Amino acid sequence: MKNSGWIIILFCNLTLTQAQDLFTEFDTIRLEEFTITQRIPLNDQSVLDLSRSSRFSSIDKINGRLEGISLIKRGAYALEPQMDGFSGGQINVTVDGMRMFGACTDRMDPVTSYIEPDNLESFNITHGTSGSRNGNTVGGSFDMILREPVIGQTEGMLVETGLGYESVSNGINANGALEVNREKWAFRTSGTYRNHNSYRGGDGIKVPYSYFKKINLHSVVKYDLGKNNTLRFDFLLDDAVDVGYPALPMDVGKAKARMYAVEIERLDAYRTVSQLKAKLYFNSVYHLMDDSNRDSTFRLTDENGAPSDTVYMRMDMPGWSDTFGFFMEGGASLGEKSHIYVKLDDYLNYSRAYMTMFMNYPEYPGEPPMYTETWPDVFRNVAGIFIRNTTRVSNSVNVNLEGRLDMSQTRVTSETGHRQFAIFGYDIDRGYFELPKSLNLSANFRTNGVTRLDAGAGYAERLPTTSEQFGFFLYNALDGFDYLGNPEIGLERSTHFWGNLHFTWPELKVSIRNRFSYVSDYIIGLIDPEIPQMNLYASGVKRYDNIPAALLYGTSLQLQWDPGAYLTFYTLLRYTYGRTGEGDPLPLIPPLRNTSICKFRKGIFSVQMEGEFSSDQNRINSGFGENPTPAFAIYHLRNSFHWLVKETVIEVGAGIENIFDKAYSEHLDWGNFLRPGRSIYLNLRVII
Amino acid sequence: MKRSSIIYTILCLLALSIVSCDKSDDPDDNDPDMVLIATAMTDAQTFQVALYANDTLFEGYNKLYISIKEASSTDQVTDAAIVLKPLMDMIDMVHAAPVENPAGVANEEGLFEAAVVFIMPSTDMMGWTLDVQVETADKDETAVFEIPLVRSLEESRKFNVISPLDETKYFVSLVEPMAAEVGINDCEFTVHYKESMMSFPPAEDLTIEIEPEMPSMDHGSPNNEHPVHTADGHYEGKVNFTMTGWWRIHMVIKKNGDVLTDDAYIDITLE
Ligand SMILES: [Cu+2]
Repeated sequence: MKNSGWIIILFCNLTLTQAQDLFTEFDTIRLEEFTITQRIPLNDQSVLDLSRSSRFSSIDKINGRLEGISLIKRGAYALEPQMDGFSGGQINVTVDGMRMFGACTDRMDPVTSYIEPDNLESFNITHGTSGSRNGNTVGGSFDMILREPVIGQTEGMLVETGLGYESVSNGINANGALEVNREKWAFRTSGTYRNHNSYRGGDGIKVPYSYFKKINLHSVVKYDLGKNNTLRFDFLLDDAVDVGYPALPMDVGKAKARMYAVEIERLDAYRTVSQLKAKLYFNSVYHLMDDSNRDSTFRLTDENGAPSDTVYMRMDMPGWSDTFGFFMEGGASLGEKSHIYVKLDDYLNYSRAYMTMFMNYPEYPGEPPMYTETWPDVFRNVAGIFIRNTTRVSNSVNVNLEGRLDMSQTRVTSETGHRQFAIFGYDIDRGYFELPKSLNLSANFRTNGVTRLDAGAGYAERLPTTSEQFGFFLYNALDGFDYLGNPEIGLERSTHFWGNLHFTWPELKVSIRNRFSYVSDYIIGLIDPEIPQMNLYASGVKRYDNIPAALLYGTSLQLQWDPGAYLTFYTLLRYTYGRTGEGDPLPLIPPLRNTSICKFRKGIFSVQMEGEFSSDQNRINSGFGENPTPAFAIYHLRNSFHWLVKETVIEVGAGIENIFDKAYSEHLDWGNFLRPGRSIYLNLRVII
Repeated sequence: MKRSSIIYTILCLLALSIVSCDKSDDPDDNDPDMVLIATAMTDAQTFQVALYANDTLFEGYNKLYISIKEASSTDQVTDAAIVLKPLMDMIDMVHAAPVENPAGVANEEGLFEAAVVFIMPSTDMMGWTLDVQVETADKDETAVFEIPLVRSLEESRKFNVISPLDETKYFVSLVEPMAAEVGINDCEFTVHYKESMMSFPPAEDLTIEIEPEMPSMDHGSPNNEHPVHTADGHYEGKVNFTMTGWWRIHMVIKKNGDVLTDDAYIDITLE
């Protein structure tokens, strides 16, 4: 009842605020496939129009608006994507199908933080168990497709530069791109620089440690080898320094990522075999946490919990994650009505992280540093095969059957790591072998040109993450516990059902999506009162374990209306529900939310009004440090102008985000620190 | 000329050092963990006795390795009854210390293994002596060692407990060397009590509870095993260290259920 009331209020809101302004970063509704495309062919005036102010959006701002995606926020930067309540190791975040893993034991560096919208062509998002193309997953896959230049076509060269300013953080965004297209080859390089100070919340007070600075560079070269073969090299660099995390007891001094890939693609190789692709890649992530800007004074307590003394501590916490892998994929027609797609892949990940604590306890000067291995040299090799068969049963019905089998071997090579886990009764001096698998069956029905129904069911298993299996006293600032990995932890398993209904009329598109997961052996941290915590600020220890069951449900309503040539209305309403088998709410489940956009564009001018609305969230799990979050409504106004001067496009964007300076935070924001207050931004972009 | 003479000198020194290395078969040259403490002749000049330890001697439990050679032939004696008598002369009184005398036969390296718990460090004014009585089939002689130094440690390896029940004084020592590292560690303690100034027999009927802690971090470690008595006043248990750094092992010592002490500790730093 309460929820339906909300929906009415939201729609009223939308009508009231119509005729204000807009921005859609991408064409959000693509009914034919679960792909959300942000492709921006730069000479396409209409798409340019739509994507206007998006050029300086961070990838987080884009992700946060995607259907089924929410963001876990610990700072102003590097928000972690969550899909229908699944996050971390439950979802597969990949770049062009390449596996990559963050190097932070505290999940401060999700893979999405290494990609900028400037080098992003599109997302390939698949929900639940059906996202297993790039690796078995229970929560879905989030593949970021990198932009590539086009060979042949019209020979040309394109230079693009942009500069933006945001008042709330006194922040600068700058980017530049160069693309060269020739008959036999093409090259593209793009770079982004961002430098933001701590931003001001809606209450007028600066949110401490919410600053960040980063550069990102992506270069691609493509060669035409003839006979439909192309060779492609990718290089990506992302360096962030001095990134503050208001929700955590420490910041990041340095976060570095490098990515190298070489790919051969063969199109229409034979009549029946199509799209053969082979890719070899390596990526390396380095993450260094830094608490030198923090107070770092900790209070010791006596047996009764009363303060007894203070110590001063500095920590050195580096982490590395290197991934080397390859995959081969290809499709083939099996007769008239059937198509088969096969992917073979293998990756080797090497993750390690260490912690050294330097104490300065006045009573005990000169104390030696303390050292422990938080990820004790963990090697994991996963080889897999994925097969999908699509059969056209009739002109209106397609049936899709896909399966995947992975073979995983995990080994800890550090002697210290072995001894650390021996304390807890584990003998980890052996390889851990697993065979995660998945099977999905789905069908889509197209009635007339208007209605389409997708429905399916699937089962999948996923591997535990490095932290869940071998993490050693990883501090979680949300619930205040140290987390201990469980070497014997089992695979998480999900049975997943989904049903999506789409209506497409020329002026109106509507999508209703429903996804339900029954997860068994759900991996979660359980309090172990026997183990004393290690970090000074921790209140106990949780050990990762499999609990019998959890239920997750996600639904959304998406609507886009284009009445006439000048106006676009767009709204997305989404809701997620999660509980354990025993009925306790799962932690970090977003409440009912709505994003509504109204855009008017005419000639060189466009104006866009946006509203973001969230209900309160009182279904919380206080055992995981959650607090109830109140409802909020915020509004943004965006304007842009563009001129074509000979061959040059000049674009100016200006707007106000959080117009009414609302002091708010979203439910998935750790520690309830405030989101940015009112911010005025100004962008200039020139394309030659 | 000058340069060549320097080179010649260096060469000679090198040659000398090689030669001296080669001909030596003393344990401290073969085993870098072994330190020669002192040598002495027995009173009748029959045996040459050398005293080795894992480190220079310190206040606490010290393992000693005794080499006995016949002075005439330099043959190693491997069969002898050996009795150690440590003594400290404190001007107004003389006292001994707990000892563990060697078994009658030497180990594979020809050394007799023994132990002494030095219950106090030596000072400029007062030092330890150690009488080593060697009794073979046909000889019974004693070598007297002036122990050059018994260090007091920054991180104590021993503590004393005076029983609130009967004023008996107990000496609790960590058995060294303990190569402590991150993970599970065997830990062994000895407990002796003072029967008289000259007699320190092992205490074999105590219960010991341990609890490791990082004092500056306010945390401990799980799954430790309390030491239990094995033999001759030795108590063996397991202590777990989750990281390197400074650890303190808190100890509670009980006799027949009565607490002798509950605020004693031994510190261990892992590098
Ligand atoms: Cu981190």
